[in-house]
Amino acid sequence: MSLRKLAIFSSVLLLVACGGTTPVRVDTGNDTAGTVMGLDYRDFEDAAANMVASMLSSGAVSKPDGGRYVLAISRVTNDTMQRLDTDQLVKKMRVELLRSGKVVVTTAVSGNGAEDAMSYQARELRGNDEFDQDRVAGKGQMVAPDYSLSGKIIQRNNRIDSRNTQVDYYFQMTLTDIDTGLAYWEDEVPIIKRGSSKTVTW
Amino acid sequence: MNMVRLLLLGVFLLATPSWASGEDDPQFKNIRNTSKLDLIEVRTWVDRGGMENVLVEAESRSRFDKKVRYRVSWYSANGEPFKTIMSRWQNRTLPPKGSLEISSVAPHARAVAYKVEIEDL
Repeated sequence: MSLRKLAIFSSVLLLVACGGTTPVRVDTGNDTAGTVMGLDYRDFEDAAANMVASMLSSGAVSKPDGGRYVLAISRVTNDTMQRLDTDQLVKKMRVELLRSGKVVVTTAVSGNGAEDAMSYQARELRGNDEFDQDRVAGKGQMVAPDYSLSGKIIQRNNRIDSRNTQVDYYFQMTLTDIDTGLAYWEDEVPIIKRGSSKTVTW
Repeated sequence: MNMVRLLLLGVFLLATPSWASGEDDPQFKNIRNTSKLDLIEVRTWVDRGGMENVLVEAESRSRFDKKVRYRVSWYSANGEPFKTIMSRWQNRTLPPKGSLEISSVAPHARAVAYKVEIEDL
């Protein structure tokens, strides 16, 4: 075999060896694939949908005059053994609550400081001659939040037998009236999974 | 999915939108039932938050476990659908002769009509 043929053969072999399953894009609105032992997007959707439905039907976010409550996002703690961004849950809830027409979320105040620092940075333009001062945000324009949303995601692993494990996930959320410090709505959504111990995230 | 049979409960009128049609009994409008499920009850009410709610109860006639999926979609009076994750498909395995209870809250105060779909898997 010539050196050239050997090079071509090696290249083809390498390409074949590197080729895996063809990627497919998941239709998230019609995903019938089995679940995983960790938390996937369907679990966050389930938890967020159940939480929002519970919050809307409780009446806690229905203003008597039909207006909107202003909501600040406080801390949502990840107490699982997985590396999660709790915004996977919170963002979905925020979107649904905003769409409900009953709540608007402030990004100027949150449990981790301002979510969008631009509200404050834009105010530093006060007195800057380069900017039309009529268009710079004035004092006393921001709206303080009525409610604060906080929560926690918990994971508990329970061994069923030598091969199988049950993993309990608990999504817990609380809506606190900032004026009084009273929790006007609370709920917990459990998501329980059973499967091979080999696939459990510890 | 060639085993799929469709049970479409159709549009139930909460505010009689002009685009809806069906038979006289408002409880069971536009039903297409080709599944081994009996529809027991459709109940609606307005909750403390002023939102429409629907509860659908069905019962399996099967002598075996039955896997189904369902979703509830909500619409405004002029037929505009509300995009919400609360309208996603959900799976359920019913034991023999087991019952299925589906409840849903409207995602918006303007949501006045709904559609419940249940499919065999």
